[in-house]
Amino acid sequence: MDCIVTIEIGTGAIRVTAFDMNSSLLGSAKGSYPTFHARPDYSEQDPEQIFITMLYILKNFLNEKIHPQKHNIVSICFSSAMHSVLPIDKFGAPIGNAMVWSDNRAKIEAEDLKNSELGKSLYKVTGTPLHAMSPLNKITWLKNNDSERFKASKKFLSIKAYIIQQLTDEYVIDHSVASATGFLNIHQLRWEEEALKRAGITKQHLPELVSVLYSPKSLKKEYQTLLGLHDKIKIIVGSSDGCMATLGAGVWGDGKATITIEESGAVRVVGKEVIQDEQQRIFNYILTEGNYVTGGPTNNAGSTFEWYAKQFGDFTRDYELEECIENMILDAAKVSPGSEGLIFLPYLQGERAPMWNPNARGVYFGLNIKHELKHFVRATIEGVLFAFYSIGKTLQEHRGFKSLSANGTYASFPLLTQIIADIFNLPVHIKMNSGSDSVACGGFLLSATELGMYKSLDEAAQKVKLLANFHPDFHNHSIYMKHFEIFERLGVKLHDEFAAIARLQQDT
Amino acid sequence: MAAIVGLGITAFTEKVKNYSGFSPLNYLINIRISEAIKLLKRPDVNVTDIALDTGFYSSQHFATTFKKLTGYTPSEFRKKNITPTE
Repeated sequence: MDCIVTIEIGTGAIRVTAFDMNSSLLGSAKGSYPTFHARPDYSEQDPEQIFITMLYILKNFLNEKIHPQKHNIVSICFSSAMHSVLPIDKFGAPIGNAMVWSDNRAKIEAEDLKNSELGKSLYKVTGTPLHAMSPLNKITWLKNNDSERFKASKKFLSIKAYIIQQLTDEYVIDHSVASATGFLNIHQLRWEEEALKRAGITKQHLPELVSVLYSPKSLKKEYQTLLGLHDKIKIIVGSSDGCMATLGAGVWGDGKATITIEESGAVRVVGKEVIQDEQQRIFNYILTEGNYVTGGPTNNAGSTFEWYAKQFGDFTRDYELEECIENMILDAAKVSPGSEGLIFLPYLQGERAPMWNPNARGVYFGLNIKHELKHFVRATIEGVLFAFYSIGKTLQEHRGFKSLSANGTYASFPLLTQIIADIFNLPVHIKMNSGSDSVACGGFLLSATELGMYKSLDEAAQKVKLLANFHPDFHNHSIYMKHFEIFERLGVKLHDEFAAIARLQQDT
Repeated sequence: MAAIVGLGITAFTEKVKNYSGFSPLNYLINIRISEAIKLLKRPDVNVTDIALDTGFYSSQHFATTFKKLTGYTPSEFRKKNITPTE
């Protein structure tokens, strides 16, 4: 039987998934790797460890699930997290670890650029918010603060570009991942001279730009032998995970938005045009030419639930973290919407859209003598989801949507999905048969379209079956809105106090 | 290792496997090989030293493990990877 394999290089793990040609899941495997924080603002990963993990997981998966069944792999499609920077030397060897999306060390470079005229014009042409996450600011940071490493860097790759180079010997970066670097002119699909100049590099320092459908010539012979793959397999470089998740959630076209809740999260819409936000609050990334995914990311989603569970969860019965989170959510269901007036600002790791404030911090507000632990649980969940609503509201200033499609690990908890429906006052769809995650499903749809099984991505996206089992309750919606107003005002009013406390925390 | 973190061997193996996708032993090998790759890309360190530095008991043992995981012998890998870019 023919099949399509997707390889997702996520922030914390590699996931390999196989589908038959009818989009049914044949199997998947996952392997994680650590993120290192040598200093508070640093987030790094070891490129060799990611590569070896990918190789091992893929090899075992093929040997266990694909080769024994004599499945014939037609195509392998990659996707990855955005914003990573890996400097390599003249021999192609990494110089140190890769900086990943959550690395915040370039926050001063980002702030400087944001406040300049150059920043305004770069946001217009690149669509990438001027934040520490952006490789443009990370490379500028290297130039300003680590000149030895900067000078030794022959090229700056993304993690996916590195993996693909190791496998095929080609230095390429797809338009989608490139559109999140801050260097790509998204209107003309070329590297933007002014951005390169700002970081002190030339286009020779970046991989060659290719379409997400680009197919490198072939896998190196050694890897063909090791993995038992023939050279007719179509390797597709693929896109960023965010764009894949949007396609894989079946959200392609007007009137719809996706909400992804993993460690971090995002709200996204898709359209044929770039959305220009005067206040630079949203991103515009490319999937394929003329298809833009526009949205806003939040730093504090699953990571906040995990933090809460680790601090306040009940582990007395040797619960796993996941079980502990499930129990917490059951507790939250015992409290009415609005948590009886307890409000949580979830900015434990600063916040990106729409406020873009790395200094923002967490706050419980409105605490009274009657509040119990269960109110904290519910307030924590509601606060995280209010942050998603802030992003959705910002997007709606530019492009309205009438329904949401929820995906990601935490979107599958019915209580959370219902709260999303109530807060947004919109129906929320989830995928039928959610055996595979949306990123992998997006990889399948992209490959299948490229292989000619669908005429267009629009047609492919329609194949995703969605269920609308969460309808908004207007009464709850109005309660949430009263709380949200306070939530939103607090985020603005505390701006100076956030800066002051972040300064104090930096010094200790 | 299981004893250090206060778990039985089965529970420990399962936890490591769930996280990393590797058995504890293979996870250790994964970390060692990742280190070895970094050293192989630096032409100034010899292969035997790399083998011993990354915790293998001989260069033969290192070469076999390396080939099994990456498809290359360490010296082939080095030759392919220290050619200048472009």
